[in-house]
Amino acid sequence: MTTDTGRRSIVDRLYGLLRSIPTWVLWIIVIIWSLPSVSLFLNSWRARDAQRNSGWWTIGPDDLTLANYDYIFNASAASTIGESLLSSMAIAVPATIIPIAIATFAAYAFAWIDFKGRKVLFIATVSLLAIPLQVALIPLLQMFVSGAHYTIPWLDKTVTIVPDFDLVNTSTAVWLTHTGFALPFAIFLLHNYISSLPRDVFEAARIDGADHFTIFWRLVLPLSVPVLAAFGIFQFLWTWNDFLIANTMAGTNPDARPTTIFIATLAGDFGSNEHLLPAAAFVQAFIPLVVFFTLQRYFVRGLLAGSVKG
Amino acid sequence: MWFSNYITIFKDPKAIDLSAWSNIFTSRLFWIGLVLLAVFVALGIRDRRQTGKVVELGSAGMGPLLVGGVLVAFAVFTVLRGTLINNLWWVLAVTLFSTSLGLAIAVLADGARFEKVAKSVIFMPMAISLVGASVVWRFMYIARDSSKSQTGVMNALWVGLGRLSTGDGLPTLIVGVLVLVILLALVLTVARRLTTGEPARAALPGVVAVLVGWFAWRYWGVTGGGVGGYRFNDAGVQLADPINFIQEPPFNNFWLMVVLIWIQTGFAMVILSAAIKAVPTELIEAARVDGADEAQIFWRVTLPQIATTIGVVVTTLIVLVMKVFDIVKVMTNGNFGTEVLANNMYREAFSNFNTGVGAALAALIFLSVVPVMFINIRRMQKGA
Repeated sequence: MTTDTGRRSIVDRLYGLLRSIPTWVLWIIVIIWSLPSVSLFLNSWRARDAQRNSGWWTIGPDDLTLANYDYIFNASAASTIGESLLSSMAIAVPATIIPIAIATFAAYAFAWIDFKGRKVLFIATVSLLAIPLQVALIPLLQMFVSGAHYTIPWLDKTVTIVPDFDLVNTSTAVWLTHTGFALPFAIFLLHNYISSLPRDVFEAARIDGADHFTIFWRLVLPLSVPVLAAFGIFQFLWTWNDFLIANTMAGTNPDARPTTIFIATLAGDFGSNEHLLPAAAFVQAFIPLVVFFTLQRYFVRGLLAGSVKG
Repeated sequence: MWFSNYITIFKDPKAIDLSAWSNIFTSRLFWIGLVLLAVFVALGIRDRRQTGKVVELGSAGMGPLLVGGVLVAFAVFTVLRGTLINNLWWVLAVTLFSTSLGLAIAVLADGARFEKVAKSVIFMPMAISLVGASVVWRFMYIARDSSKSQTGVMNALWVGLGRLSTGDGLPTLIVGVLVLVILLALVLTVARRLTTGEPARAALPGVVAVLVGWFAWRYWGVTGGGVGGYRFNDAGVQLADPINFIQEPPFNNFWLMVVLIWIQTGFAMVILSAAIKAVPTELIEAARVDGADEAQIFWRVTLPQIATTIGVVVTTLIVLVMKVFDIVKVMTNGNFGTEVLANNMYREAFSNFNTGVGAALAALIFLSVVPVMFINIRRMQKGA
């Protein structure tokens, strides 16, 4: 009897092991997925020679050094990462706040104010979502370089539509572009939310004599905080992590370039600064990671909503 | 000429290069894929006689069809080269792998212990910029001279495997025996499922068994001998043979795609996981009462329920991948046969100051994403 139960328990145990295979697969995937980030993080604490001659898995307590961080913050030849972090802020903050401000008003108007051509205007705005930003890069850059001018045929007269503000290579050009491209999406997203607020609330407020501005300020804004947060986080990370627009509009000006360009420039130096890359990449990713781990709920919501952005 | 810029693009041999098409017959991927497709045809004929359908979700033919189709497509993409082909390859690979991996992880993690931790780790790359992710993977892919020790994880594993499989110490023996045990277990599983009338569930272990079998064959040196990164020089001395992941075409394209797959799998996982959790429990309970096993519940109940969400993930990814730029720009700048549309456009417009051709390329990107974006916006409006 005892041997029989003993044998059964072994079989049970083996069966249990087989059944836990999915869990093992999951954790193996998790380890594979975290490996790249872990190797970057550990490498950022190792000196140049250590990084070049041995893998990060040989790391020991003697290896640890702050030299890479010290170098990118204090002694980098062209400009330090601190300056580029400030540039990133100078781009990401206006590019987040301004679209929110404009889009909330617009979304309220599209949702709750009756005016002529509302539907046509709204459809036109939403259609803009389909346009990838690559399409507008060339004309936008031309506009930032020399303004926009139009020569009327037959009359031979040139009209200046947009004067030359000499914006090229400034962070203004970058956040202006981001703002423009964020607006259709922001209006669309906020409109979806604001138009789904219960009609009774608005009617009750109007009976009490509230005008549109009061309703917007006292009712709509407080009720829209979750969607504003979701969009704000999405837009902030999008602009913080952007490379294409920043590189096009301000790529050649060391004073205006954000961290992503700083890193790409380091990476393009054909290995001479390769040992600084892990530290720089980690510094650049620090703010998004903080946002990710503290505001994960809003982050997910923003990403879900942002999946339609062009 | 009105269309001269477009003609320039399509006449450029770098855009579409079909000259090496006959190489497909020497591609191992192609032949393995063809064999799998043949298996699918055989299973399909049998299934059609039994159920009236050639292939269904979760039927025996589905595995070989999918894997075979992907392998053949990959083989085609490796012999037909060029910017446009690269873009198509990106769209296929990233969309397919991110969605299916995301789905697999969502299913595996559903209800597992520490589900939140696991999902956070997989999702985290989404917070990192594409430039940052490219830097991360550069360090994974480092290839050093064969005389030096490898510092990149991928090559360290590859060269390490080569050493292990050609060595003669105790670790070599242990791994070798382990591989044989796994192979035996897989073969037994396949045999048992075939004899007990569950051929559908034999397909996946079957494919894995073939792969493990090939591995064991080489590992034990039946022919050729050894797996992994090693070679012998003229004097017969064994040397490390690392893979130059970023610079060896055509598969360097795939190694760049891995970066985006690494990022986007988390996105697919989060959305699909939410969808799976929203499937009504009554449906699953009812299926269970009717005697369905877990696999049947997944293929016949859960998957049809989340089909629209899968559509959302796929369309979103297609639009995103069509415009891929940062990864190619930072990792290769389009060299070594990795050019894609967006980087080509950037180079033409802002480096060569060929504004017309650049604008035409941008318009091509626009045209290719418009249909998908249209579907996406319609869906969002319905959802609102």
